[in-house]
Amino acid sequence: QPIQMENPYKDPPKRCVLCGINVDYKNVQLLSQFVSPYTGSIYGRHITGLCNKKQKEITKAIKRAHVFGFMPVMFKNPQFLTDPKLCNIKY
Amino acid sequence: KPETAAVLKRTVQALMEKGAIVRNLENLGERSLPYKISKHRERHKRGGYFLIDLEAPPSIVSQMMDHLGRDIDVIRKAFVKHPVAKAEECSGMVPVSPEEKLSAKKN
Repeated sequence: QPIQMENPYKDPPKRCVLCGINVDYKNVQLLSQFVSPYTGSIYGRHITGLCNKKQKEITKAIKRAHVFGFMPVMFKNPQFLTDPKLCNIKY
Repeated sequence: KPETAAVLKRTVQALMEKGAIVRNLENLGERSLPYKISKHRERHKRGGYFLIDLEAPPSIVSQMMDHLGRDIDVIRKAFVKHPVAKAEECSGMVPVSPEEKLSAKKN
């Protein structure tokens, strides 16, 4: 008689890049990685590949950073242009 | 630099008078602003960033925004709630079945 049990060969749930990292409006470097270097617009979920929660948090933090004067709005801070690429975007 | 100290002292004193408990005051450094900000008939390019940790009743917020708006040395003011540290339970992306996606609210 087969025993009913959960699939033991299941992979662990996929984690996005920011799973477990605290998102803050103050660390402009992290926020700038999800912003276009040419226009300064925030990348969508299909580009960043983040979970629901983290995408929302990042958007809110970026908007806050814009208003409070931490992050530039129309472009990406040139200091952070050479950061490792997190989003799958082809220029 | 003594001017910044005076500004901070004034702000903290005003906060304490209104009945706020100041827990911590951090200096996030002085850097050039990301964009030029015009405030009080002047265009500012550099500024000092300060973060004040405080506990206060919510009625203080509007009064303090008014008070800081009248201060010439303050370029931009903001009140932010304390982020409740809850990120320990991030369990990764759960695959959403197509039925859930259809019945999910579109906002």
